[in-house]
Amino acid sequence: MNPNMFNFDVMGGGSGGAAALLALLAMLGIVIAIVAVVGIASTVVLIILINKKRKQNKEEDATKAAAAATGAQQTPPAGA
Amino acid sequence: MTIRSRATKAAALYFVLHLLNEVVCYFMLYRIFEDPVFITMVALIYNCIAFVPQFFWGALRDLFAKFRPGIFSVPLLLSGFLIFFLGGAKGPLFWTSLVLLSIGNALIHVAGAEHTIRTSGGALTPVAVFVSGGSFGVILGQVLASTNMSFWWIALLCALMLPLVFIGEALYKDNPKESDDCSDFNYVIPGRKAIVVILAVFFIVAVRALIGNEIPLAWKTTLTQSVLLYVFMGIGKALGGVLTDKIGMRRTAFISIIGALPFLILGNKLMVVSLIGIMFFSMTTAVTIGMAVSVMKIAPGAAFGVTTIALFVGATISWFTGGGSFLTNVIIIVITSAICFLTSMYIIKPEREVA
Repeated sequence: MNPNMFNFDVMGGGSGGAAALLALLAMLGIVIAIVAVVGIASTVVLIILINKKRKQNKEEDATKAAAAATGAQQTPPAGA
Repeated sequence: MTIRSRATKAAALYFVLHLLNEVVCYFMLYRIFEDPVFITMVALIYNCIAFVPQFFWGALRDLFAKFRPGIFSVPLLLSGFLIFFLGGAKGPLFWTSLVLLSIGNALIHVAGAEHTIRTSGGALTPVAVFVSGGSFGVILGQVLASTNMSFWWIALLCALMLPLVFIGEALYKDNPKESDDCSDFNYVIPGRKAIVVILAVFFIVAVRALIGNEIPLAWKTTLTQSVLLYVFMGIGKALGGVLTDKIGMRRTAFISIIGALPFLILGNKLMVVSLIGIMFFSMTTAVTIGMAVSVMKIAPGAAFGVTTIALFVGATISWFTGGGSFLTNVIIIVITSAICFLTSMYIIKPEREVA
């Protein structure tokens, strides 16, 4: 897509140019709205993901700690 | 299946999927025959919906492993494509077709990024190869659109993407956890705050997208030369991943940011010199993806989305700037390249410290 297609000279002055400018501003508004919605929605999803990961890590640490404690209990002391 | 074997297959598969995706999209976009103002609006909306929400779709996939964006992407692409060609060239149907196409585009990108990153075991070649497919697809789509080719052939290509997506899902199944959690992505100096790295990545990608349009290309006057431009961009994107895995990210960043400069500046009227510069310049893609994933290991899809938002921002800003003299453009390219290089050196772990 040619990024230099936008040419105000083509539109000329008068109401045609004003209508095109208005349409472009509307498009920019849509873009800003999309960026805002994506930003908010993504932030929510990422917060949920980070909390989920923290919870998983805690559970894994607890499981490992429990397994280590069980292993220590079952291992006879040295020299016994 | 070994990690390397799965990663190689994923890279090849998603290279093809990405290529086909861009062929479909650009074939349709280049069959829109309207005035320049309308085309600009179309391009803005298309780029916005295709690039920006990849951050959200990526985050969603990171949260819900059962969400398979690839499977949704093909029906969306195909329906948008067919609506346009079967009577949707104007009015509300046109915008509907554009939105469907853009969302489908975004989803296949996320699918490719997720699978090639999560299966790679920390290597960047797979995701770089996946990304490079887009360059070839963009120019192929444009060239095909300029011919008399019936849109049904492209629709068929689009439909053929679906079995490939299912192959990708089958390939990803049983992906080992040690690769899936991206724990081997360790390209960033320990202690660097994640938010600083993400902002740095955003800055580098946006600036590179901006100055990409300032690169002097007086030599480019024919279609064949345009094709060569995109081919070398694609080769550069893949090479960025290959070189990072071979010689390290810092050295690759040096080549792609500083090494490219003399070729870009001196190549204004010399095609071969310029193409080498373009190739080097494009290698930055893998570097920035690697940096982002290194600090967002639990969300590689969202990390990829950071780069796509930055691409959109940089490219959009470039539409409203530019047109400066050769000297002005050169000065801008040199200064921004220096800043990007210093920023990346602040972030990227030295080669000797990479395990």
